[in-house]
Amino acid sequence: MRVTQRPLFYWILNRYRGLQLILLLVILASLFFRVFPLEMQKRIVNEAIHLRDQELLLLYCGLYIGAVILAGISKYCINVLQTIIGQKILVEMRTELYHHILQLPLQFYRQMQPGTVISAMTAELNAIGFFLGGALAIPVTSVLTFVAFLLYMFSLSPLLAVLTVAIYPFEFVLIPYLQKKYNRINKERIRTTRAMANVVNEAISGIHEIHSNASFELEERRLASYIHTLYGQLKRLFVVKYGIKFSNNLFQSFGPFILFLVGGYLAINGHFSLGALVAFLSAYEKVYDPWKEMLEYYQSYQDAQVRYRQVVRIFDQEPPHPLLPEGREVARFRGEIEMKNGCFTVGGKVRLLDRISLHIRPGELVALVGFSGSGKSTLALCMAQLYDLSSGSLLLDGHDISTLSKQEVSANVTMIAQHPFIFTGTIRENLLYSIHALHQEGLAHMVTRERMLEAVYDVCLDDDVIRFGFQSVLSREQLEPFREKLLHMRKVITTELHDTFSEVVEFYDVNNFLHYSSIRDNIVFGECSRGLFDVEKLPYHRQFMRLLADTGLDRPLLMLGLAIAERTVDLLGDYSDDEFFFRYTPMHREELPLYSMLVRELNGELPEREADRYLLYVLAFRFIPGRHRVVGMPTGLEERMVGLRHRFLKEVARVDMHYCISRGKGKHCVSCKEPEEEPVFSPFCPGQYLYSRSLLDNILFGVIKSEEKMSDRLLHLTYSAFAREDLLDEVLDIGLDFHVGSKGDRLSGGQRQKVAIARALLKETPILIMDEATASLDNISQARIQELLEEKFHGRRTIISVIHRLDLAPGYDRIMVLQNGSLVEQGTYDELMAHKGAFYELIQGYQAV
Amino acid sequence: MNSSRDTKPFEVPARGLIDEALPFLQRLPIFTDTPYDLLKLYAYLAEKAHFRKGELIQQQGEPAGQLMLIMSGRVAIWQEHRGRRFLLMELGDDSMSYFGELALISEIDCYYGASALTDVEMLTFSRESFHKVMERFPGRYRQSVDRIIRLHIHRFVEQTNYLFDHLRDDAWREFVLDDRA
Repeated sequence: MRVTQRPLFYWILNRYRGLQLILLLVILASLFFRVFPLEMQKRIVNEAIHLRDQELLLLYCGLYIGAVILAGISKYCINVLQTIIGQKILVEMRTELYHHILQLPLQFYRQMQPGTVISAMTAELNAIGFFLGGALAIPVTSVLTFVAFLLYMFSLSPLLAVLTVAIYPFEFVLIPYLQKKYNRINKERIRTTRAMANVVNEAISGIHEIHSNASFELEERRLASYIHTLYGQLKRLFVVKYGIKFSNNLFQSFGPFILFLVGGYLAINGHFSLGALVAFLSAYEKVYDPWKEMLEYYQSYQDAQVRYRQVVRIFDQEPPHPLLPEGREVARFRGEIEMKNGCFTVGGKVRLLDRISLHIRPGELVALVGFSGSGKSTLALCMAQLYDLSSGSLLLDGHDISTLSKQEVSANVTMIAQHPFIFTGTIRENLLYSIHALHQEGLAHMVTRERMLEAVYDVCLDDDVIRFGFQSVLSREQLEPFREKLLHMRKVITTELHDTFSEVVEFYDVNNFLHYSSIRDNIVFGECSRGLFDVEKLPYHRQFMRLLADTGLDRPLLMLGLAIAERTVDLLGDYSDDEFFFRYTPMHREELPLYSMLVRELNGELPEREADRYLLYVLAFRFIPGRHRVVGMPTGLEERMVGLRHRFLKEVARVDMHYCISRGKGKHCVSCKEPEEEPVFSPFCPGQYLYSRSLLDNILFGVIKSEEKMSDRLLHLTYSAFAREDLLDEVLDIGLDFHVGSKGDRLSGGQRQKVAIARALLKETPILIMDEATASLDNISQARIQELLEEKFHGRRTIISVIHRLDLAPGYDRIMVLQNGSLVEQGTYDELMAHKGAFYELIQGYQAV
Repeated sequence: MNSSRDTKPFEVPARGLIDEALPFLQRLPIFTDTPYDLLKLYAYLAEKAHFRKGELIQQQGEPAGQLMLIMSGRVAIWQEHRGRRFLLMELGDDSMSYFGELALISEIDCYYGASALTDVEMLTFSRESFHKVMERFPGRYRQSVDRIIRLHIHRFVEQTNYLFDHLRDDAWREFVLDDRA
């Protein structure tokens, strides 16, 4: 039975029957423990108290409390079991439904708002889950408890029992009436909530448009109408809900009234013992619990039923193709495509493809061209089984595509969309996405590192991935396999290639002042994982400040800070609203008002107050002589800074730099006693990897002089150096673990397309369909991929490519020209140009542009 | 008197890149009549670049994004045509010491190339910086554009004259106005 056609109780009756049976047994056991205390109540009054027998009193009280505790425990077990069963059924329901939903045809999603699907799969199913667990247990428990108490009441007094239950039939009429009303409003509420979810979803997806049109009010109004409708519905819903509750309570209070009236009369006249009256009263109270539970159950059943029907109704479609082939293995095709009178119609009227017949031989390279709306993409989608023809047939290696399973088509056809979807995760995960999917069914080969890197090179993604690799900050685990190679690379760059690189990089050298590093970096000359020597903390570091005073550098640094403050305030005082102007000064934009005030107050004098000195030190520590232009480096200070650095490393950081340089390892640091531990302070030591820095920073072992960190010149030099040492593949491998962000938003449009093409190439299917798959690429990458299609894959794969750039057309074996959904021409480039038909016209128009 | 004021001039020189760049910018015709404060801002936003003898400064056909001002050294401006490279002019730190002025007002691909004839030290000033400043002084924009266009025409005339001077005789096709019609 199709998952969406199963009734709600199908899930309950066909899942976890063993657990449900255990639940039933626990319920039966609990019944005894719930009735037994009533009998004890009667006996305590009638026997123990009446006979003044203390031993009997103790015995009955003991039995009473024992039964009450056991009843509580069994109730607890029932609740837990119920929830477990409910959630287990929900897991299966959700999994099967999702499996079904994913297979629904693309047209379904074109019409369906994502908000509806998301809300159906999450919140609405959650609500059903709560009902599922108790779907069988609650009515069984309630009915049995009700009957048990009723029988006990009859055994005490048939007359009273009949009188007290006489009011129940009224409820049988009123409650269902109110409930029906509740259901109707609830259905409306679900519809409104979904519509609201869709509006919010659309607003968030199209937030760019909203901001660019400033259509905030328009969007608010759209949502406001739903908010008000929902308010009205909820109001009515709660009126009915509490109406049901009110009538329940009212009926419940009628019972004791009759009981006191008639029971009291009987007791006064000696026809009924006091103990029996007490027991009867308790039984009456207890009998109402299951009754109430049944009413609540009825409500939640109706609620769940409404939700469930609403959920399954929207997905109630048969997936057009089976997932796996029936009775045969998934075969690998040669790549022949044949279409006979293929038509594709939307809305029953508009014909997007009109009686197209074509034949593509295995290994042929075919271009689909035509004006926008001519049906090129629709034809490509039909060939990939993403759309189904309305009439006519499409054969892949002689098999009708409509009879092929999803797995068969997926194993043989790969489609690359113009705007491919990139999943949240790393580039590697995205590249292996299709392969992993096929692997699950044992249909794909393992991808070796070489194969993956080849695909990356093929689509010209290597430059991008290497850049990502260079920018990666590696963890200890990630670094381990490459550590020695990377440190070797650093050595090559800082020694053999020193002169070439020194044009763009200022290398760390413990004996030289660093013009492109901040004053802080010049003194501290290392990284501290706990932020102990951060610029903002340094002025509070006692030992450091004492050292500064000892070396007599406190005043020059304060003066430097003051000069920076004065000149920045003077120069940028009117530009505090734009970050752009603050790129060449150590002062942050938002700090300008604070420093303006300070400069005014100081009037050229050095500050006395601690807080003011702090502000000036911060500016001085941030100052990078090679970048910040507001002041120059004070004369003579460079040498003194290097001296201070040596004393800092020795006295504050306790690092022996001579040992560091001569031995090349950073295990000398006092703060890192365990070699396995990440050192607290890592000096810029040639043999030590800096974990907080990127791979590139580590390799270059210095600071890049250029403003633009990844300048072409630097990249070119680094590429050559890595290529020389045969290490580019290692960086590429590291770059593959770059996280692409949510839906690939850290990648450019071109990078996304390259990832999608590489992903498709790795799948190695005999048929490759590209729907303007290279449209966002730069000319060089586009030409490279075209070359790949025309040379590497020519004759080996059937390639159908929808193209807009007609200058690429000559490279194709055959060009098919579509016009208004019809195939109007086909042939080689030369044939079509000689024919001077539709293609010739297209070319003329293209060249004119 | 506070002793700190006595030592200050010796320890904090005022000469940053701004002070170095200012005299060069003042010489530039684009910035004639520019108030000193604004000129200081231009100097602050300028960047310094070094090129070695023979190094390519600007590739023909690549986007041009900045005005280049020669502080020292000589630069060749050339153009490639049908596989041959023609020298259009030589620039030094003397008279016409700049190129790329059009890049300040328009996003263009460079129709010429530039290479360092000697070791060259330059100041560069980006279109982004120019526009950021102009946003603050919209009144000056028209005047600046006007100056840039005039300078460019002047350069064009210089380059054409240079080419005329170096053309072979057989390359001349004399233009005769036929006024009989």
